[in-house]
Amino acid sequence: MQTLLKAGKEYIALMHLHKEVDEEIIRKELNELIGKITQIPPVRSAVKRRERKREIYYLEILEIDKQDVLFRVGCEAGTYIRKLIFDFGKKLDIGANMQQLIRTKAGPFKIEDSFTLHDLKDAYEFYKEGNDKEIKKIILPMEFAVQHLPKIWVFDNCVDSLAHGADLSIPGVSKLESDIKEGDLVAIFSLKDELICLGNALLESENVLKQEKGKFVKTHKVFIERRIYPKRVIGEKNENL
Amino acid sequence: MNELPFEKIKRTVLVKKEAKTDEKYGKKPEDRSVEELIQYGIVNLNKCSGPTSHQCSDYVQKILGIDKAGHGGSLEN
Repeated sequence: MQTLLKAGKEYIALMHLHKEVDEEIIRKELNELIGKITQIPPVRSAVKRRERKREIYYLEILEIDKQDVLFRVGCEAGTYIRKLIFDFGKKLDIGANMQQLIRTKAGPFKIEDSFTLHDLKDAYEFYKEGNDKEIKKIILPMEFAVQHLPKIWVFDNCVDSLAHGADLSIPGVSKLESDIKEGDLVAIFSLKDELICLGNALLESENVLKQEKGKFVKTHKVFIERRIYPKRVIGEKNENL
Repeated sequence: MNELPFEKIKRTVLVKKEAKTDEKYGKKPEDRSVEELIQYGIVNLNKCSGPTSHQCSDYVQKILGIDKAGHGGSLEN
């Protein structure tokens, strides 16, 4: 789940301005938040309180009603919206606070595709009665959670060593996605599209195509169980390698 | 368009060496049973305000009769 913590987020927030301001000024100033911003995490927060840079990818005003502003914002992980609003009020010299906040996206998860605890409970009851249609819609394979990451597929005989935590070398790679950059968090799959592990790329996609040797991914989180795929016998000839 | 960075990148699949996979081992995600999904799956839960993310994980555990469930991030604002 660490991958979600680092993924981009989208929120809908309701901001209350402490004084009335011209709508045009609100629009112009909010628009200026797009891009890099600097924040200090709020007093009550889970992280160390020191200045940090975050990126606002987009900000769309949905409604302005006098002192209340409803907006949608797409931002880098670790952006504090309450703080963004507080700082905005300070910048305009009128003060502002956040009245409501909903997260509408976290990486590949979108609010419009979400379910409630009641949905889950109902689906589970149906399932116990022999109807698994609903539960299959609600419980997704873990692969869903990493679909925002660049993918790499490896040969069958490479799976078990990755399952044991080994790093991935170029000879194990069957396919890979384009635009992988050095340092990117990547997801490694079997040729049956099962998630094996996550790791950090040490090479770009282009170089993996060109090179025949070398370490490609440093593994750091394994998902598949050991021994699902056969152990590679050293010295055994395999035409896939 | 309101898109997060990962939604903007359009990746293509590059083939290094085409290969087949042996049906004897593993299983395609879409072929997993409900029992397997319950053990290793994910729920995109729209949490109501009130209970914490942690409490919601507990509810999910109780509903599904499992002994382990976690969540992928609280709404820290």
